[in-house]
Amino acid sequence: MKTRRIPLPARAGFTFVEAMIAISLLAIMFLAVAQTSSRASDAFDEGSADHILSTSTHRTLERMAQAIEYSDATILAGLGYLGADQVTFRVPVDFVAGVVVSRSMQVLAEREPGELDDGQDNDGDGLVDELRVVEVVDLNTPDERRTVLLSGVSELFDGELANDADDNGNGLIDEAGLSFSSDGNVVTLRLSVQRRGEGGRVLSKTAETAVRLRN
Amino acid sequence: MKRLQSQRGDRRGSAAVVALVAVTVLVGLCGAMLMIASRSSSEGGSAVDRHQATAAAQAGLGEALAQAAAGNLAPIGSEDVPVPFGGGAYWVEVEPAEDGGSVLVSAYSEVRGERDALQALLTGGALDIYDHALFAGNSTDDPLYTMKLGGLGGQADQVTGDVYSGGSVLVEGDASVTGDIRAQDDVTGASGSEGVYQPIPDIGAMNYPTTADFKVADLFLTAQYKSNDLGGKAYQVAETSPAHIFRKNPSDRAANINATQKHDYFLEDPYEPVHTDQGSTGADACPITLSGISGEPGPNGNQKVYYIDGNLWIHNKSIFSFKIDHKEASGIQVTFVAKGNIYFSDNLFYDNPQMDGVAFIAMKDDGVVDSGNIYFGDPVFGTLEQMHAFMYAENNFIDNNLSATGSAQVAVYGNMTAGNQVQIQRDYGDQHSKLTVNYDGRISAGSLMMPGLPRANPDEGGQWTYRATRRIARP
Repeated sequence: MKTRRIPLPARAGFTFVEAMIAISLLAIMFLAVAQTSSRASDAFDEGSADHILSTSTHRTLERMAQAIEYSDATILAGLGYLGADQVTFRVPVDFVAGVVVSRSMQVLAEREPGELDDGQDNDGDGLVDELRVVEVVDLNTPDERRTVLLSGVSELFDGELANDADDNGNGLIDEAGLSFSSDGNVVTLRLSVQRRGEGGRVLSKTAETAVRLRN
Repeated sequence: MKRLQSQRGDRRGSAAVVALVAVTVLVGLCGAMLMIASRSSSEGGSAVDRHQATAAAQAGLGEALAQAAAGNLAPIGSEDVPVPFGGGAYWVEVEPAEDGGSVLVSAYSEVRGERDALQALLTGGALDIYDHALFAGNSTDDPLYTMKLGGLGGQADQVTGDVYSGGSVLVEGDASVTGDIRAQDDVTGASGSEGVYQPIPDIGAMNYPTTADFKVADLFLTAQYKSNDLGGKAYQVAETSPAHIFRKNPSDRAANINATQKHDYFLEDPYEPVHTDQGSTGADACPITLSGISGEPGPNGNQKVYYIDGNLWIHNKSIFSFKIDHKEASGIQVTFVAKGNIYFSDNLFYDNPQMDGVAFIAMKDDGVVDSGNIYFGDPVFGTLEQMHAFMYAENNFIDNNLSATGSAQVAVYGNMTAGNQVQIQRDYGDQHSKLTVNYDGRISAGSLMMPGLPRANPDEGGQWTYRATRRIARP
């Protein structure tokens, strides 16, 4: 196969100005892409963190609700409209020869290790005076087991200030980030959780549920 | 073909690379966002399904408890054929608890792959043995056990009252049951409820050897071996003894007593005149009088529990019928407990059918294999035709009237109950001797107060009592 050579004008390269313009444009484009990528990455991380926070909050609330749903009426002692930041109760774990075998449980909010009740972020996690949710099984027995269900619980429930007033209008005064109250045999659980996300922004998640006691 | 060839060399731009990188990054980010959204949605969906599964299990449990309250505790659906509910399904299983006096009701559910399982404990028991005309607890869990009723025409079995079998129930021929039929397994030949569990009494908890008012074997330690018009020579006690209504090991019934492992006590009163009641109508029944009432000597023998460490017989070679004779306006109510077997070969009538009550309890003796049974019927002499009594065998109630010389028909006014099996064997060749059971509901209604009866649910007033619910492992 034959090829025919076509002669071109004598323009072998870019001028310096052309090169500079091209490089500048490319730099701007790279910068824009990098910035977009970074922002998108931050948004993704924040979205992920928010999703994880939301999931863990709801799962913790669901776990507590499931345990409480089949508790006996002892859980109602000390509750009522005033609420409390912990509940103690008994749940059936087995039926042996017609007898109900129960286990004592407690769910409470306690200060996170390294954190003090002083309005400061003592442990440097970006949260102030935060609490954690602890589940205690076989309370006050040699087999007692403690499980931390969730950390980063707000010191006060969403919308509440430490001012002896019901700021968020839910009927409770200065309630903690984890609180319980009852109306008849219905127990309401409230949970506010915080996390420091990427970039130092504090993410918050609040959830609330109610369970009717079955036993 | 000629092709133009550029002489500009490799002067390709970088825009394509930048665009590719940008697109890749954007695609990656979009993918990640989609993944988060998808996971979030999936998490939310799973949470909803979990809650729906819990609601379905609670619905199944609620349905079973409602049925239990109505006295019809039974499984609902099955794993293979569950009950559709709220986009998912549930089924309920009912099983006796280890103690035998309570049941475990387990509800299982599944909603779009999410499962839950709840279990409730019920105690008490919807019905007692005294709520039934026929009751067989099937305490040995014999999978083949079937309570059979049959016969044709005028010889067909007739039961008026409720029937329960811890196995199956078969009603064949022209047999009829006027009442509810409940069974743990199958009900065939009649309509009834299946999968029903009923508890049985705890005889051991009654502690009869200690709690009974009269320990007959002990009272016979002073017995004398004497002849009597009732037949042969036998051990007898003084008329002042509450145990004078028995004769022990009579010589004229050696064939009977030699066939048993323990001592044999025959319910017959050597201090009363002999009547035979040849017509088996009760008009001339041989009287038995309790001590201490109606002018009889000795301590009050009414409203008492008589405990016999041995076998108890209602059988005399010349007498067809017995009755406990008295002049008490409130009637007599006595319970006979035999640690051995009870053999019914003759009729027993009430002197006052409205007020009198007699209960027979056969309890097991761990040292004797053949114990705790009631043998009902006389295949040899055929003189059992009417029995007015409440009868409970801790082991088996064996209704045995096999031979052609047996009674053509037997009527029970009371009930026939057993912790294990009620074995109705009334066929012989092409013949069938008719069994009629007319349930006596006075105990159930509370109008007849019998002493020392074993109850399946002494405290629950005939109802299952809900105790607690727990979450169990998902299947």
